[in-house]
Amino acid sequence: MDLLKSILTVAASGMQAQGERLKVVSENVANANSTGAAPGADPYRRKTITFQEMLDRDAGTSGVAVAEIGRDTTEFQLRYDPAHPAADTDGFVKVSNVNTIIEMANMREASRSYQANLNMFETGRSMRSQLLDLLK
Amino acid sequence: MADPTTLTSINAASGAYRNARDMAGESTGATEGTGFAEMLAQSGRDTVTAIREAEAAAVSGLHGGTDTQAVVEATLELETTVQMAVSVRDKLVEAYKQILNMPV
Repeated sequence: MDLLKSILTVAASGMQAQGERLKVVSENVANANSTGAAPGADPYRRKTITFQEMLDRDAGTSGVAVAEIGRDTTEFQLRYDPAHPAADTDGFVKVSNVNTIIEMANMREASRSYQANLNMFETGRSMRSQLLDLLK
Repeated sequence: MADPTTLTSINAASGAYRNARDMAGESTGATEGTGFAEMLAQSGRDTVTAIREAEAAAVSGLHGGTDTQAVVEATLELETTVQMAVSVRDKLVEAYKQILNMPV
């Protein structure tokens, strides 16, 4: 495979992975206030994402791929709200284990990583077109 | 998409594109023959395949079937492929012209 083309493929896989990561972050932020419907029911459990190396033997490159989208097993916090439909007999509601500050930091990191991969893509592309310009 | 400053001319690009479109793009087997003509034919077929893929990706992207990134990748790939085909063709035409201008 063309070397400069494989750079583009690897950078594209990184962009794809960071896109998935941002999707998970946005799901977490959107569901930060989701609670259960029945008394004592579990609220939204924070999603986590892990990446792994994706080896392409034909091209001899290592891209990145999403390994697993899992769930955060941290315990839920309790909030006193007897009027809530999900409140237990003591009046406590389980709230989601999403920490908005962590999600914001994660969002920033995903965005920066995406940018880094995009710059890599752009550089690979410009190198390729510079090479083609030699023919002119 | 095709930047006029990087391509020799838009007409050249569209001419090459039209030629490539008419070519048979089905058989993309391994390059058995090592001749120059065979190599050219193979790269021509590869070009046609890339163009077809990009067209399909663009169409399905407009219908909402493919994600944006895939469409962008295919379109950029199309641009580079056409640019390469046009550059090689221009070079060949130039060589041909030089032969024609040779004093006999």
